[in-house]
Amino acid sequence: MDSRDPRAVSAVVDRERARQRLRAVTVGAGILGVAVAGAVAFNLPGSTHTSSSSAAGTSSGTSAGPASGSPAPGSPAPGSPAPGSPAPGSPAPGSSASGEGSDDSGTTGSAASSSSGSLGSSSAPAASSGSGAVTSGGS
Amino acid sequence: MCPAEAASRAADPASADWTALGTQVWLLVTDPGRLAEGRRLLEADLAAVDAACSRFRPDSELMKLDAPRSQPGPVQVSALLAEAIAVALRAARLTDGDVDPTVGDAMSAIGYDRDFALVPAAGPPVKLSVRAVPGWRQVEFDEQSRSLTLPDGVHLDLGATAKAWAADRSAARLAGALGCGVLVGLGGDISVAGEPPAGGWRIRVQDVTGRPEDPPRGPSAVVAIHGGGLATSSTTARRWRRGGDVLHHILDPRTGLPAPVYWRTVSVAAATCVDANTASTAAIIRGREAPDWLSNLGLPARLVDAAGNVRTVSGWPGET
Repeated sequence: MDSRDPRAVSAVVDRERARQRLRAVTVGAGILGVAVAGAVAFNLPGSTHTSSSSAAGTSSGTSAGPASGSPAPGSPAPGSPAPGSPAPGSPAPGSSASGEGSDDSGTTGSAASSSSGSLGSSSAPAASSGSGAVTSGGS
Repeated sequence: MCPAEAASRAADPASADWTALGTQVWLLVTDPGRLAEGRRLLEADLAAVDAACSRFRPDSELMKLDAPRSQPGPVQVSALLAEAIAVALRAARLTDGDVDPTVGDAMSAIGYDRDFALVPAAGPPVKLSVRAVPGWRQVEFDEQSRSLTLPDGVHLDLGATAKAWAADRSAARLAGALGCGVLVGLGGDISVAGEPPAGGWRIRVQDVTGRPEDPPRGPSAVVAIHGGGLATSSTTARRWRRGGDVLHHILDPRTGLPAPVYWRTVSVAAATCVDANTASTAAIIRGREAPDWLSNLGLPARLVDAAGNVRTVSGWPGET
């Protein structure tokens, strides 16, 4: 594998993510490409520059994952259909966060009931002619 | 102007825009007579959110969490910051950690350590280490008591969700207070509430948020929504260069580095803006898995790949 190839980097990141979702946490070299003599070369997307980082700083991902969480504000739009299927990722056993599962706890919830355990779906937008009154893009 | 055109224009929402939270703010109201009051309310809301959640103000409540304390242990945060943290942790939970608020240090490490307007567009190389962020499971938070414990070395960055949450919060409040339809746009994060204008709120989705009268760069489409929220995440915005590396602001928590660009722009419509934003951000990070994930959630979405090809899912209007 050519570690300078962004597709190769993307592939290994995907592989790493899959491993994490299986919670088969592995620590060591080889997760993000070819570790040689304690160094991993990788390339950022869209870049022609190769960077190096020490193996000591390379992690197979020991933390990110599901666990606690709390209800969030945000009310479904009036008339919107029921939320879609549950989001992937369920609370991890042994989570330390005390807010876990407290979906009815909202002390401040300004916008109510997106305390749901899934991202709330809405009616699909309609195609519209003419110009937009506002724009939505990256910012 | 013909009578029909005049009537149509009379029905157009009134709008105002300004800058806050490091981004462009748009306020649209269906009752033009309520615009000034709406702006006053929205400015107050955003000032409060900024004071609570900003990562770039040393006097913000969020930044004060990082100050050395004489005694370790939990701190009680304000109701507003508690809500913002709850939203961020929920986003992390629902995305399996793709949208993680513990990216504060990683974001600083790649150079995004101040308001983006002050981040130099180019600079010398930075050392880019692949290192997973601490992870949101490290955050101990009780929303009832607003008790927060952050382990050493864990610094929150609520930037991924705070603007969308603020848009939801203010749109709902303003619609109630003004008694008319309201659209609040914070950068690409748009929330609407109240009775929409005839035909819905028309929004042009594109790579980078801009003024509607300016032509977009890259593929774009105009859609209308009647409720909820719409958000766009893009790797084409908030980019900067360090040495030979082009960096952007959407980090993969598993590497602590900008996510590989499979989709350069993703727009999602959802029941709330924060849900739309959570999904659009996670979709950027999930890459090729994103369309299936969004479809399974029933979230209408538009995804633009690195080459500019558009794909839509879950009923988002197709483009020819």
